Amino acid sequence: MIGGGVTEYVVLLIYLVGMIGIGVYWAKNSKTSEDYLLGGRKIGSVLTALTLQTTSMSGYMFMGGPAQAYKEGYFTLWYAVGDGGGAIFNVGILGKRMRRLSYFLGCLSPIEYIEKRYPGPATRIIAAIIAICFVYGYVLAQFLSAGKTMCALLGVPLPIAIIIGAGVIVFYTFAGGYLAVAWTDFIQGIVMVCSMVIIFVLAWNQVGGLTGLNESLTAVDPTLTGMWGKDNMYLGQWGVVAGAVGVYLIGYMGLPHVVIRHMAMESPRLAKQTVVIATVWNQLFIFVPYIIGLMGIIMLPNINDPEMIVLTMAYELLPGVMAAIVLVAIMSAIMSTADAQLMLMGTMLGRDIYQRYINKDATDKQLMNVSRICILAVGVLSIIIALIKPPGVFSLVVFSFSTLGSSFLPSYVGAVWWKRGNTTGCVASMICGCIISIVWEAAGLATVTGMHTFFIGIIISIAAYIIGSLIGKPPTKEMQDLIDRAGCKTKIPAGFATVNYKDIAPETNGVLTFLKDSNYMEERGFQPV
Amino acid sequence: MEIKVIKNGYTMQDAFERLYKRSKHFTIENMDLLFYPYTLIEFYVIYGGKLERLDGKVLCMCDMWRGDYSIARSKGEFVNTNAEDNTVMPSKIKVEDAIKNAPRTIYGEIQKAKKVLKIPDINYVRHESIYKPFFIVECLNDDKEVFHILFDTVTGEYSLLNA
Repeated sequence: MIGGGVTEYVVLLIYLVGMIGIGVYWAKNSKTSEDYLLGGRKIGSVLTALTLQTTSMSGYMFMGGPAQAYKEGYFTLWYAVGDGGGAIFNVGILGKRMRRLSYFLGCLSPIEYIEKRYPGPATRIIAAIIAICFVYGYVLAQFLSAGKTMCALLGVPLPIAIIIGAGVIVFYTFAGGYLAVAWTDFIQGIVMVCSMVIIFVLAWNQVGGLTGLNESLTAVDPTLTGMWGKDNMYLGQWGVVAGAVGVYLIGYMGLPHVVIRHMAMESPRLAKQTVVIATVWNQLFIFVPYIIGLMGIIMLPNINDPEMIVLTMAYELLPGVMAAIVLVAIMSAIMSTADAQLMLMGTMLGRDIYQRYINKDATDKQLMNVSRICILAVGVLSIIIALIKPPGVFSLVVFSFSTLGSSFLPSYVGAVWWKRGNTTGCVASMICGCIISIVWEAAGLATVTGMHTFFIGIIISIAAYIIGSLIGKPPTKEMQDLIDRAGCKTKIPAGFATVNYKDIAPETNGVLTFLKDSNYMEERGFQPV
Repeated sequence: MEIKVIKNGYTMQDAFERLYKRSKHFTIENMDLLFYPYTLIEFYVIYGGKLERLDGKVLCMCDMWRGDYSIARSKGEFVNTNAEDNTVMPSKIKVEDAIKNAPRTIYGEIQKAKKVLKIPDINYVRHESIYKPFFIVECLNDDKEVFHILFDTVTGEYSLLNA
């Protein structure tokens, strides 16, 4: 136990109450199912960028990342290189196009999006089963992480820690929906990056900057500063390096709880701003944990549990309250991932199961209430499983990440970039990606072959998508036109490009909000704005 | 529903002509009315200054969707019209809040124009709900891609919506 003092309890309590407050506030402001499930598609660029990145970054960045750097040296920065560019790939490749296409298709969930883009009864059933099973695995892992972190840091018994940590996440997600998740993610993102940067700056001075760090590492073991890992364990293995860079560079594009962020953007035009903000946040946050891990080799050579490097440094370098805030930052990283996954579970169960198979004529209010109940039910069930028979956190995360990524990545990317991509390709890709990931993991083939589950899964899944799409019937002309529309920015005739009269600018924004929120355009035969 | 609207300066035909004058590289596919909500609030202001427009009867226009206030130069011309329900934007601001907040704008205007030592006496007289008609215009460019324009039927000004 590292913390456990009154300060830690008070800071954590303030934080948890704050998160609950956000949930209560947004509960009053979510009036329609689109508000509740997608924040009314009014999420601006800053909020989109931060919720996207904090959802992607779990507690691993505070614990697993530094520990890995502590063990493997500079080699681990390959992961950071991939992760650092992940936002550019994710938002750049999918952001604008997915936002437009999902809007044209009128989708509220990433599974509904898959089904409407690749129409057919098999698509939705397979996509829903895979997503619900493996996102659930992810939720469970994050709940366990939250509990274990509180338990390890504060000495709270594990069952109580799980109930408190997971209970708060379930409450604010249940009450406030997507907007509560996005705003809590925003705050959590700021806490995460500030804590990490402060520790980094203080530790940086202690080790004597980059020169001091490199000299000290070389003195301990020269291979720690090399690009092939400690004792040159990956010498010449470019495949491993490509894997380390690639996992986080492209992997997030296959995670439904991450790509749903694109659908909630206020406007496709925000994608560019979102890339910039997310990339800046990434550069501040991604590399730092790994470098702190490297500094840990010098500053904490005898630490028992390398996963505690960040927190141990916080307690050595910062005054009590600040160190307690770092503890909150770790909880933030876990909670910002868990809430998004829980939210997605509610969306999928409400929209893709209840409205699709149980009550096709469900009203907007019924849909919102059912989604809420599903979030609560999934949350409570996860807490019970976590208490009774907790699985291993790390293996659960890796397995869920690999399976979701392998199953969905080709379909999400192909949906907006390849007009020939069709239902046959999508179904083949999901089945092959999912099965190969499960078999590879269950048979322990990753260890035997040296090929990461995600990579074999993604290669097979992409191949299945391409072959299936070439064999199957091409999408309809209407769908191909929509994909074209999603891909290109409307060219405004030269005469209008510079027109934006100041005098009616306020009304323009008001009218735009009204048109988006009402049925005016649809009822009067206009295309959506 | 019957509403009171600011009299149109521009008809649909005028809007067509005005927009096509700007560019030939597009076609107008659809055009329809949308009524934007305002409340015109009349106050009687006494502050003893020499600014005629801010002494005596002063009209304050409140944007009932966004909650913005401005001083109206003149009352303008209004006509009653029957509008379809879904073409009338609802008010997001309560009338009583608008009446309560509008004097701040008048006071701000007086302060901008002249330093005053005495707080002006601003008395509420009456208010009425009015609507400003806009045209929503759907256009296609040469590549048959859709964009929308908001056309102010009172001033003839226009701006691009979410292109």
